[in-house]
Amino acid sequence: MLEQSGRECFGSLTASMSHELNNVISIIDQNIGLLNDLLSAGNDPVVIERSRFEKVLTRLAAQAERGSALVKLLNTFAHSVDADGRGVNLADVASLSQSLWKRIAEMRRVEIKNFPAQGLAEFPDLPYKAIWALFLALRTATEKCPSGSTIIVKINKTAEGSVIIVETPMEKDVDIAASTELVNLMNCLRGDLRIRQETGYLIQELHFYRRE
Amino acid sequence: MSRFRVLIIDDEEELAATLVERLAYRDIEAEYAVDGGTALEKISVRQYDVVVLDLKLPGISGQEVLQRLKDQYPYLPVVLITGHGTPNGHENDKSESAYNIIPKPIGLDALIELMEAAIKNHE
Repeated sequence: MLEQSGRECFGSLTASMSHELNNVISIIDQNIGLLNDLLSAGNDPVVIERSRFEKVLTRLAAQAERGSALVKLLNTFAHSVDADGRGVNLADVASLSQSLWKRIAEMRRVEIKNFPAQGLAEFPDLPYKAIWALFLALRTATEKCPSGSTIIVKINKTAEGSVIIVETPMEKDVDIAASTELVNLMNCLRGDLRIRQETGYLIQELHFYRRE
Repeated sequence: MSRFRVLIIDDEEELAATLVERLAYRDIEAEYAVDGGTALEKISVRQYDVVVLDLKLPGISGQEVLQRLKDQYPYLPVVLITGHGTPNGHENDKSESAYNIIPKPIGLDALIELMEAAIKNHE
């Protein structure tokens, strides 16, 4: 079950990014087509209105930049399974997750906001596992909150290690039971999941402990 | 005079706007909407010969827009855009409406052919 949850996380995030990349390619493709249309519409020598030409170039440049950022993101995500012996900064994980979640959040009409980290909060395992844990917490968050909500992600250093806090606005009478996958993953990471409801918010705290 | 009028529903505005421009070169009158709510509003006040709908939409999903179109405008042909490489996974979308599916990136000629076929099927 835990393995399946890991596959789901990987599948959802990569599918979302590949969808974005497909859109980038589509826009570039259509704008190349539009240039061809403009060329075909005139006689020789071809005269294209400057403003129209500039508009197409601007679109192409913007999509090239967007595509490049997506590829960089995909690459960082791909390398999140590498163990390089260095400590994993949870603030980096939160920032990466925010970008990975952008499209999914947009589709669900919610916003994910990261608060600046309090101290250097380190994660004692592979970065991917932190992304996975945060994925499950965010999935719960996006399922429970109303459309138009802002979900807050906070990263803090604690005396025993570090914590990710996900604060989600929620309506009354929403079931606040933790997802079984997240409970299992936190057990596997020897961490601790604390969930509570507080003045209209669902608070999920994912505590991680230093390993000697 | 235009050959027909189409509404493109896609949240990628740059893509929809470019398609509108390119279709104009082919005497096809096109407009676009970037979300389901705006699209349904447009359809309620203007008559279109065909709708091109991206299934992945923020807010009101493409599936929901499709359902509403089927309920309220059963004679309006719909061509679906899917971001998937193949139309797999959308087999359930096939129904008596006999609409068609085109994957992204969209081939313009293929899209026009599908739109024309969808219009003809509904005549």
